[in-house]
Formats: sequence, structure tokens, C-alpha cells
Amino acid sequence: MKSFLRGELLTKTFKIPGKEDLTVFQDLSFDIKKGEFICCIGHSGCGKSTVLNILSGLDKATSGVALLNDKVIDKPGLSKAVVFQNHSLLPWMTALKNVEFGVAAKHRDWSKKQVREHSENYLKMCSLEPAMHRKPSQLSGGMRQRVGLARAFALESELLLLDEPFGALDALTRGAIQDELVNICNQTEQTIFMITHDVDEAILLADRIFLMSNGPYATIAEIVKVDIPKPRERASIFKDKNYYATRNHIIDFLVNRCSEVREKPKAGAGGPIVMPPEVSPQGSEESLELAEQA
Amino acid sequence: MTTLNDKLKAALLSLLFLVLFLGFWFIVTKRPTVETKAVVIEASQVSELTTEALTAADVTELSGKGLTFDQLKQISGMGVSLEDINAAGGVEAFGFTTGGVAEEATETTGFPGPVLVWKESWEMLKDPFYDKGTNDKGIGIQLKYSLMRVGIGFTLAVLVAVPLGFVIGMFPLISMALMPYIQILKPISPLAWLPVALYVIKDSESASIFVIFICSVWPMLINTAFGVASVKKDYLNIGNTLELSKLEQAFRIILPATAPTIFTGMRISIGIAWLVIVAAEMVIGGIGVGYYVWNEWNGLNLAAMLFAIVVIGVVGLILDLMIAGLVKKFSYVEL
Ligand SMILES: Nc1ncnc2c1ncn2[C@@H]1O[C@H](COP(=O)(O)OP(=O)(O)OP(=O)(O)O)[C@@H](O)[C@H]1O
Ligand SMILES: [Mg+2]
Repeated sequence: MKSFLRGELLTKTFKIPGKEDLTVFQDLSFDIKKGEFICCIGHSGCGKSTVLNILSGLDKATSGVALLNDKVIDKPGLSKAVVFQNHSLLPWMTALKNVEFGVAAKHRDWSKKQVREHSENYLKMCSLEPAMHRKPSQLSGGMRQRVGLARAFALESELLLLDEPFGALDALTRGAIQDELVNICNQTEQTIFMITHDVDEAILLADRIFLMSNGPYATIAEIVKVDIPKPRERASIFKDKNYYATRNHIIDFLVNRCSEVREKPKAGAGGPIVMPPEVSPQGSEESLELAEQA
Repeated sequence: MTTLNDKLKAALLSLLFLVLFLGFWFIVTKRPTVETKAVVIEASQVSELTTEALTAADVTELSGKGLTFDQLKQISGMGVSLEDINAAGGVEAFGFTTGGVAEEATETTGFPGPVLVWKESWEMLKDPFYDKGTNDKGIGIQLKYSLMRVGIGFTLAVLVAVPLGFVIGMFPLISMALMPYIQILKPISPLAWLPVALYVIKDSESASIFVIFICSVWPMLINTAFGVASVKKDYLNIGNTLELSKLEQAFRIILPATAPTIFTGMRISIGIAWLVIVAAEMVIGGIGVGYYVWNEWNGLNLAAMLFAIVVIGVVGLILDLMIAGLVKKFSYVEL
């Protein structure tokens, strides 16, 4: 299959006045197919948000390129909906107006009524109907995050970039919104790149999970292919034979290996594009039985 | 939040301060009430003054009001009765000044007390729009002219300062190029522009409007530029991801984000404009509250002058509250 979203030797260096330059990640390459759900896991500060900002076009890589449909991503746009880590909403507008603002910008030929109905649908989907007419300052942290999600969903763009979208949600709401997210991507064939800290969430949602090593000079150390058939149910996913194998593999990486893979790269970025190794942890039937007994 | 109870307490305290102030003012400006200096006229002289119209009792009453023998002699010579005199409005109507009246007249040249100011104010408020010639117009008319000048000058300043502030805020290069000039022009007293304006425009009306314009422009310009330059990057990012045009970005994101700062600038400006118009009108003359204050001072009508000063304060407060309302309407809670 043709690649949809592609990173080629992405490197980001921050110049900090009076200090040494900080290279957050270097020679990051990956290839995402249309309709894939990608989760990105890594320790705090390893550069996940920075990668996402580059993919959204809001930030620029120091070297290397990101391509969407074989076109270089050089500016933000409607084809790439973003849910920011700080769910930036416009504080002078109500939740509904915030969503409508995006919808009206995308569908300029729509009537007011069309825009409103479309926006309300997505707000309802994120169970925000009762809070629709309140301003962000009058919403809880989780509600704000859901408004940000509703706004991104309502844009129905090809690529959805989510930066820890469920961070401020309690377990219950989180589950409900995760289900919505699964629904939405089943319906719309959106490609999703999502940053998360929650391993279970990643296994539930993702086709592939990018594991990032610690910075500086971070990179995608490994890509875990989640070999669990979809649709997956939160209640039954742990019964799959590959579930624990995948989970253990990721946790082992985060605890033991994410800092050791860091190698001081050669001076100067560049070189051939090397895709990160892909693994697909497999569990045996016996291990599942063992786990069940335990 | 202040509770209702606190507000009530504050109101009562305010009232107390007012009463104390008025009391102090009253006591300081109080004069011994002037007794009418009765003139004693001997019986032999009274008979000299009585005529067919004027009885002896009338003569005693008039002399009791302070008329001297010579004055009474004149009155009796005119052949008028006491009724005639009272009907005409007293002896003053005939051009006589009595000792008592003369004393009262001197009282108005001293600093007026609250009672007198109140009486004078009431007279003015009863008919604020009377027009009895160039130097005698009601306070309402004066205010109308001052407000008109401030209104025009201020509106022009808004029309210049807000768009220019936007440009300065959006383009750092222009900001850096213009800032030195703004920094130099800003601290110049608006009144210093008055002679320049008078010379160039040669029309006092336009000159005063120009002075208002020049003093209102800076706070708005600087506030707008600062507000626009410091709009949160996140808000701009939202506009960018939605592919808004530059113009949409300016009107849908930057303008609402900066509105509270812009209106705060306007609030500062209108306050300064109202301060400056009074001074400008004192210099230019003609009409307006500033000139009115000056004119009353020249006429030594201190009570009217004090009244006008209070009116200036009240109108300034109203102007401020109006824009404060706008600031509140457009302000939002940052997240
Ligand atoms: N504008 C900047 N200037 C300098 N350094 C920066 C800047 N932005 C980010 N960094 C640094 O880059 C690194 C990666 O930041 P980033 O926000 O991408 O982390 P993250 O992986 O998203 O972390 P988290 O999981 O906590 O959100 C951090 O060490 C941070 O200090
Ligand atoms: Mg982050």
C-alpha cells in the first residue's frame, strides 16, 4: 500500500541562548498507511509533541521532511486536524461556537443551520450537550479536552493528530470517548496519530505503536505491531493470546530499554533512510491460561 | 466578592465622608449674617419726608431697611407709595442700594458655602439650555460643545489608532521602525500642540478637536499594538490549522483576543481627553465647559464655577463608566 504520512530523517534542534543546542530527536523516519491508527509512546520530554507539531505543520523540522500524500508538510491546514495537549480553545466563545468556528472554516458553502447541526452532533457524541453553551472557563478540564476533540472530529479531516487527548479524563469518560474514537475512525477511515502515556489505551486502539527512546537524540526505537483482531472490546481484549505479550513487550521497553538504545549519533544528520525495526509480539495459548489462572 | 453587607457599609461610610466634608465646608465659609443697618431718623425729619403717598410708618419701615435720609428724600420726591416700591421689587429697583444689600453683595465675593453653591446649581439645572448671548449660556449648551469636540477627536483617534496599532502589533519590523517616534511624541503635553494647530488650521474649533485627537491617540495605539503583539500563539495556531485568511485571522482571532486591551486603551484615552478639553477650552475660549469655568471665575461667580467643576467630574465619571462597560463586555477568562 502507498504511504500516506511519512517522516524522513526528521531532526529537531532547539537553539537555547547561552546554552548548548538541544537536539530533541534525530533521524526519525516512519511510514504510515492510509486509515492506520498509530499510537506514540515515550517518556515525558522525549519529543512526542514536537513530532506532532511538525506533522501538523505548526512547527518545522531542523532537517528532514514530513510528507502527507507525497507532499511536503510546510504549513498547517484543514487536512490535518489537531487536538493540542493543552486543548487550546478560544476562551471568548462558547463550546458550541468553538466547534462551529472550525466547521464553518472548512465548509464555507454550508448554511448556518447545517454548521450548527453538524457541530451539535459531534458535541453530543462527546457527551457535551448540557455544556454546549458555556465558555471554556466555565468547563472542567476534561470537558475542555472533549470540546477540543469534538472540534477535531467535526472537521473530518484525512489526518487526525491527537496529543494526549484523554489526559484529563476520568477512567469512565475516557472509555466512552475511546469508543467514540473507534466508531469515528471506523466510519470515516481517518488516519490517526495519537500520543498517549497509557499502554492499555494504545493496545486497545492502535494498529501499530511507535516506541520512542528518551531524548536528547531520541528516535523511534521500535514499532510494535498489535496483532489483535479488530474490533477490540475493552472488556474482552485481555483474553486475546497476544495481549499480554504485547503489553509486556512495551512495558519492558519503557522500563528497561528506552534509555539504553540511545546512541550518540554521528556528527551531522543525514544518511540513508532507515525505518525502525518492527516487532509483533506473539503469545502462546498456554501463557494466556497461565495469566488467567493468576 | 464583596457581599451586599460590605457594599452597604461602604455606602454608609461614603455618605459619612460627604457629610463631614460638607459640614467642614459650611463652617469654613460661614460668615456672620449681616444685620441690616437700620438708619434712625428723628421724628422732626420724618415729617419732612411724608407725602400723600408715603406715610410716617412707611418712612420708618424704609429707614429700618437701611435707607438714609438723603435717599428717603429722593423717594418722597418721586411721589411713590410703599406699595409701589414693593410692587416694583423693592427700593433696589429704583436704583438705591441700602446698607444691608451692599453687605450681602460683598458676601458673594468671598468663597461660597455649600448652601449658596447648591442654590446656584439648582438655578442652573432648572434651565440648562438657556441662551442669553455669547457669554451667558446654560451649562447644558456648554457641555454639548465640549462633548462634541471630545466625541469627534476621540472617534478620529480610534479610527487611526486601532488599525495602526494592529499593523504595528502584527509586523515587528514596522513596530521597531515607528516606536522611537511614538516614544518621543507620546510625552508631549497635548496643549503644546495647540499653538501649532491654531497656526496650521487657523480655526479654533478644529484646533481643539485636533488636540483631543492627539492626546487620545497614544494610549489606544500603544495598547492595541501591545495587545496584538501578545496574542497567545495557541489562538493563532487555531486560525492557521483552519486555513483562515490573514483578514479572517485579524478579525476572528486577533480582534476578539485583543478587544479587552483595546478598550482599556480607549478608557485611558477618554479620561485624558476629558482632562485636556477643559484646559484647551480655557485657552481657546468661546464656548465649552472649560471656558465656562474660566468665564465664571472672571466674573467672580464662584458658586457657578464650583458647580461647573462638579459637573465636569460627573460627566468624566459617566464617560469612564461607559467604556468600562465595554471592557467588561468583551473581556474573557484566559485559560
Ligand atoms: N520551544 C522550545 N525551546 C526549547 N526547548 C524546547 C522547546 N519546546 C520543547 N522543548 C524541549 O524539547 C523536548 C521535547 O518536548 P516535547 O514537548 O515534544 O515533549 P513530549 O514528549 O511531548 O513530553 P510530554 O509527554 O511531557 O508532553 C523537551 O525536553 C523540551 O524541554
Ligand atoms: Mg507533549
